[in-house]
Amino acid sequence: MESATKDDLLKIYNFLTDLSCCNRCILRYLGFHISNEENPFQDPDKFFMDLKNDKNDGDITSKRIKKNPCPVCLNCFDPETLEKLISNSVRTHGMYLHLKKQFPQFKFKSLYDTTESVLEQAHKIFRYIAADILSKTLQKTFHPKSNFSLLITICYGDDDKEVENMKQIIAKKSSRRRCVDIEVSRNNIFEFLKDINPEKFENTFTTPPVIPEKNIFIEKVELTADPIYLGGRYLKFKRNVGQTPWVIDGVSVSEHNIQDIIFDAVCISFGCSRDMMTFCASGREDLDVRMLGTGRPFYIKIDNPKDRNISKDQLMQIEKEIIKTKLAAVIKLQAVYASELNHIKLGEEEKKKTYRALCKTESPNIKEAIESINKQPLNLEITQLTPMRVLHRRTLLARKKTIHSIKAMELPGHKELFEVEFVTQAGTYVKEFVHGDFNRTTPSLSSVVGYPTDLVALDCIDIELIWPEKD
Amino acid sequence: MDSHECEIDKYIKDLSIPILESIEKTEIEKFQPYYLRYYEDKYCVEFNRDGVNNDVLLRFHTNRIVLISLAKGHDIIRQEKIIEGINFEVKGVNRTEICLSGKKKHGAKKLRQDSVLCYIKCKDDDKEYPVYTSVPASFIEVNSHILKDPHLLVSDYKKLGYIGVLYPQCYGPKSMSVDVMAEKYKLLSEKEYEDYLLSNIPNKIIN
Repeated sequence: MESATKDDLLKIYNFLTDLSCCNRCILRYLGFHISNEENPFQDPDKFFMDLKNDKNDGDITSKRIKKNPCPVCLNCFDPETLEKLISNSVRTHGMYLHLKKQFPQFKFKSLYDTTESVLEQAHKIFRYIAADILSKTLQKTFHPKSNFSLLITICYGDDDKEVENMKQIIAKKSSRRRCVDIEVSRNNIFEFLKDINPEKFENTFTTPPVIPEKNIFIEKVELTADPIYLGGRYLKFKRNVGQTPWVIDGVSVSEHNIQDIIFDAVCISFGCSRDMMTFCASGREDLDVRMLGTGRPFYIKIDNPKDRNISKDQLMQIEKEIIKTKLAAVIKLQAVYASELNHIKLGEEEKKKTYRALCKTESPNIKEAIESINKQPLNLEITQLTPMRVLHRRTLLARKKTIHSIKAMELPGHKELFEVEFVTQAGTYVKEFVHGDFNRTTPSLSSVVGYPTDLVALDCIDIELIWPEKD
Repeated sequence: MDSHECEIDKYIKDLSIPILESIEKTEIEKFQPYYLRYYEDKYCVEFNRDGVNNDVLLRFHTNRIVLISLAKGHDIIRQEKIIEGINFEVKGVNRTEICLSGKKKHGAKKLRQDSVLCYIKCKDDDKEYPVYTSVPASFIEVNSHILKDPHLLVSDYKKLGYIGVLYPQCYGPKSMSVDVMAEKYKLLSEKEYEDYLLSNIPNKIIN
């Protein structure tokens, strides 16, 4: 605003005041920001008073005597009242055009740009003023990064009437697409106002905006607390237990699932309901695969928690409740930060996984079969054409994967069964690596042994990922 | 390690039973190889006319992907012919030119129940044996093994010797179950097919 003279500022001030504009809206049009060092939004009356005094303009009383609601912000920048941004946007635009016409020489900042040169955004002014009042009333300090937020919806009685015109214009614009019902939201009005040409706007809306007849009122106040997160690793001791509920045509595929077992335990310990929680794990094992050893990393998110302080006792209680089911266990359960959550999804391609498998072979000599497997080099490269098993939901593609290591072991007393432990690259189709899947996976244990070899049972015993942070 | 961790740890050790004990003995004994355990076999004899047996075996995977192959009642298998070649050139279109993209298999050719998938040529035989698609489906893959060794169609028809992969058109959540498809397209179950073959023997003798 350095380029503008005080004279200019005063002229605009007087002009807008005559139109019943409130002082904060005038500051906004003049290009002031809340983040400015000399923030005038705190006490705009004083700011203009000083401006006038500097100019020695005898008349120091505000010209705005008629107590109409401000035609731009509908008084929502007024500490005594408050906003809904729909009519507000239209009105802001109307006054903006009017102002630009009257003062063509003054370089007004843009209304919609996202750069520095934008006029202060309406909601920021509102938040600034509202936060101040609320802090005083509630005797709590306002912090922009607090984990508790307040959503205030403000309603203007004539909103629908004023937005009706807008609907018509938008409808005309998109008439080619036969959409009859157009949702009017703050966002699409913004988008629309950004591009509208001034004449068209003036044909539909009065500029400057008419003096409002109704006051705004608070429609609702919603309180939300940021979610809290619990991280840990889970084990699954039984086959045919799913990871999450899986329903096909109204029938559950598995009787139990890890998510529900964990949620139930958390419900008991925290007294919160299931629908406040979301479950997220680092990958998933098949229904018929157990998860043993070090377990699989996971976290749960609890929305809108009543209590943010989680005690060690509560966490231990959850672990105990879970293991009581004898189907699953959770270890290392702890509160985790939202910023850590991406660890669980990161590096999914490189993550190594360790499996133990029970295999059955048609080889007549089990010792030879085991030897030929154990002769395989470290980091064996294999190519897997999308298995038949998942062809219905995955793109047909040949994928290269690495079997980092492999070790077969005899099972005393069994001539066709043996155990194999292997470390694979994430995303390897393990079952297919054993049986070969119509030679779609090469090499496979079947091809290495030279006789059909198949996988009878599979356990996942490690997923290489440090999670959660604390041991 | 505190007492709580020790307690949990003990439980975990007890519950992590060895893999061999984690499944029933009978399950190991009854264990079927992968090319059988995931599939339900259906047979199509709809295109058998004038004493010609074009029996087709459709192996429905649990995910409704279908492997199509010759069935044991097909004239080529019955008459123990040697397959020399498979011709995928049908009405000037080469069926092996499949250009798929994405999970939904865009670009797959959609074939009708009575579309010819390919023609089979046998040694010392001028006839070309047509193989009918048998169920409306997208043809999403040709089995590369049979291109190299066509006789797999006979020698290994239940495993490596399938012609290709079909994906029935009626997929999605409202897709037909295998049974509904079988009824609609007159596919026979294993048992029904055995019965059909028994009743069909006299024909063979007459021929």
